[in-house]
Amino acid sequence: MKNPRRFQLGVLALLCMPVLLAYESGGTAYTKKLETALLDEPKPLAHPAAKIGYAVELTVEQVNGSWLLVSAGANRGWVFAGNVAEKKPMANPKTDFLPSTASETTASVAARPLDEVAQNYGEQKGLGEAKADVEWVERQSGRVNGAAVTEFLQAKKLGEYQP
Amino acid sequence: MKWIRPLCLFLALTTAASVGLAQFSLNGFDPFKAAKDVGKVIKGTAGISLKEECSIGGSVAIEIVARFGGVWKDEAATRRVNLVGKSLARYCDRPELDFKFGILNSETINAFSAPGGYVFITKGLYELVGDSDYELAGVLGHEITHVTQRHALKIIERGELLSGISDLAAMKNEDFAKYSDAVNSITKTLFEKGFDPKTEYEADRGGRALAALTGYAPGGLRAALVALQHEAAINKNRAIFSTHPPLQKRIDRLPVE
Repeated sequence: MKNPRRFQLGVLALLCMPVLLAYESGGTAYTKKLETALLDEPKPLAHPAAKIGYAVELTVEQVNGSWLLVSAGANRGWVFAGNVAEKKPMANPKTDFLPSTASETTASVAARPLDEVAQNYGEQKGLGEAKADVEWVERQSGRVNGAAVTEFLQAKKLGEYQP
Repeated sequence: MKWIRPLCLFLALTTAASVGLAQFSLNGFDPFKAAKDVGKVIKGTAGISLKEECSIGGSVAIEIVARFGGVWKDEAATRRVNLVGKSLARYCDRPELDFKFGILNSETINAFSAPGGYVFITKGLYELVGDSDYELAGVLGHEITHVTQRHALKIIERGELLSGISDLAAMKNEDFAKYSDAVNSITKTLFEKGFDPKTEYEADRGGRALAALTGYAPGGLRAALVALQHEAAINKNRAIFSTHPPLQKRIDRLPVE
């Protein structure tokens, strides 16, 4: 090999290429939340041009870093890549999603606490102490609600708040 | 035979590109085996509702906590793990889940997840990653991927272990025994056998991709694994990811970043 460094860089570029090409113009993405806003600009606080429901197929028209310009029928706008999926999601939108306000406003309570069957399991197995510990984790976790996570993402410049 | 060398080079590069496509796509999507995997999901987990998944996951979570000395009740540390974990979970492929993150009161170095969104890391692992959010994100991303890909649920195909139980909430005694067997089959995998290496590597790829998508440096998981390898070399008696594939194999499969 006359120029091994060039060869290594070439292989590295090939390996990294799919990161950039995970979504590409003309490709497909799916909404994965009950409601996804398509924005006027690739910025988290931009005006929503349209709102799309769950598991809707989107056509990717343009990729700009972590932002995608997508369209679905007459609706068109920008969406952060983390808010869509490459595969069509399989949840039941009528039963599986929590009420949209719960994750934002509920404090000190898990949005979906340890369920009755699991509680009975803990009791019947003599694991009451461990059950109480899981409930402690759920209370702590419940305090980190949607608003706290958004504030964290903004402060740390993560997610759609990346520069 | 001058053409052999360029041909080999071409084949090597196209193979590398294919492997790269599987390893580095944004959420671990592997187009070459997608159709096969969809079939597996339908056969293995489509019959388990989210409510049932949360029931089973809650029971597994109780077993995890019981096995590892209870929960470390440090509110600040638990809040930090939840902030980093829920930031990742916001962009995962199953936003319908309510993820919960806790720290086990154990000096061993390990992490676990249970169906429905329960994620635990041990105090030993939490202290090892220290202040590095990007390493913590890599570790939590790995566990989140186990949940979103339903790896544990695939162990208990409804047709076998949960057959005959139509309503978990109204279980009779004999049904409870079946349910308990199903939970036990998951905990046996988590505590004794471990997932197969392919599943662990899939979680590594997915965790790395999720962390990168969220904005963390993608090398966090690899850095954490390297730190664990150093710890293992210094302290040979310490239990480190005892049910996972060898650390070096996992490190070798993640790119240097």
